[in-house]
Amino acid sequence: MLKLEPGMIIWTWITFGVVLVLLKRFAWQPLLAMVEERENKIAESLRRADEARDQAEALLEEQQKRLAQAQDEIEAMLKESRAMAERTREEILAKAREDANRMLERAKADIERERQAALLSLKKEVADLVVTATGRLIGMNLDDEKHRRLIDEYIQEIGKAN
Amino acid sequence: MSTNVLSFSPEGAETPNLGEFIIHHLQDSHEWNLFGYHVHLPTFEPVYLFGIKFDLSITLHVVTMWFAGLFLVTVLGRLYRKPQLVPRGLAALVESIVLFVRDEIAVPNLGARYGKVFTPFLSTLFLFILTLNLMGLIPIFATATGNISVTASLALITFAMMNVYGIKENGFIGFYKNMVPHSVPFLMIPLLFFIEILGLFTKSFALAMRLFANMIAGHAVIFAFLGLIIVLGTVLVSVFAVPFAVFIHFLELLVAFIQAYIFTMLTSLFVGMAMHPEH
Repeated sequence: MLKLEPGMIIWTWITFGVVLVLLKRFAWQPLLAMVEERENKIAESLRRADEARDQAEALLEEQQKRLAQAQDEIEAMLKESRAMAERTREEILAKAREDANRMLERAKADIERERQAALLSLKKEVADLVVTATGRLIGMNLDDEKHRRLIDEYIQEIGKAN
Repeated sequence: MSTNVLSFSPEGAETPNLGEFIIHHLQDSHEWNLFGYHVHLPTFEPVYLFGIKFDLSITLHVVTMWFAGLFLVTVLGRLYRKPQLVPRGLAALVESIVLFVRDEIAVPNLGARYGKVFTPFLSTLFLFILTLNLMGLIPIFATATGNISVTASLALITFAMMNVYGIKENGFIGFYKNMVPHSVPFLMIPLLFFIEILGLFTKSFALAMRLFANMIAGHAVIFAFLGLIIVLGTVLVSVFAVPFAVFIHFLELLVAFIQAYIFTMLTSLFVGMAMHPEH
């Protein structure tokens, strides 16, 4: 049972050799080529997925940056427009106040001028009236020129008192 | 085994000795018992070469090996005539075996480059031994791996590869010089060298014996259990004998895979050790 048969050994070598050659050609080569192809494909897919992820991340970051930038811009614009509105308001208010003041001044001036004019004509009127009245009262003996001067002085005093 | 166990048997006179029967069944033969028909296989006159007698007769084990080879080549050849990128069914199974051989057996022992080179050889070795082991469990075939000549010839391939690739990697002198660790005292070198050279042979020898003995043992036990029915001469024994024989048969199924794995694993380990000696 433990005797080595050289013929059997030769047959085993031949059989194994033939099986090895045939399997190598018809099974292992296609199989290993396919496995390698698949491994490459998987590696390639993984690499691509990584790339895509990196790209997406970069894009997201950029978008976020842009969004933040836009936010900043909006805030700046808002601030600016608010300031501008405030300034405009101030300007308008100031101008309105100034206008009102000017109008008031003018009105006051007008009133003063009218008052002066009225006063002047009143004085004249009063003087005439007084002259007429006193002329009537005193009669003809009154020196017209002399009395008119007197009355004028008198009226002046009244005017000052006024 | 010399006792005629069947002398206890009632009608034992004509039946052959059980031990001899078992031995005879485990041995190679020149006829093939096909469902009761005894096919006579061709025998040739032995050829003498260098004073060695080569009996190249087609024995039962040779036929079994041919069937195993034919089976593997046709099944796997058909499977990979149109390779699929994503394998299904049997192709997935075969691929997982090959990838196991490549990633768990070849590459760890032989390195990435040689591991890939050796994968076809190791896969073939694994499947060849596995198929022969499993065919041994089919009644019409014989266990070719239970023949010491078959296992020895496979172990001789390992032996040759250990030397060839060891020399190829380290150079002729380097290979044999590196067998002895460098830190060894000077006087120990011849002894260790002798032991290491012997180790090359014992590794191969153990490889052949392990497979042979494992395959023989299971079959012998099955026959011994079933033989109990004849030895004790009563059918009642079969209540115990048959379940035990079936159990051993299942065990054999496991052993068939384990031994195929071990043979492949050790081959790659030994060749790897020869290629990359420890310093």
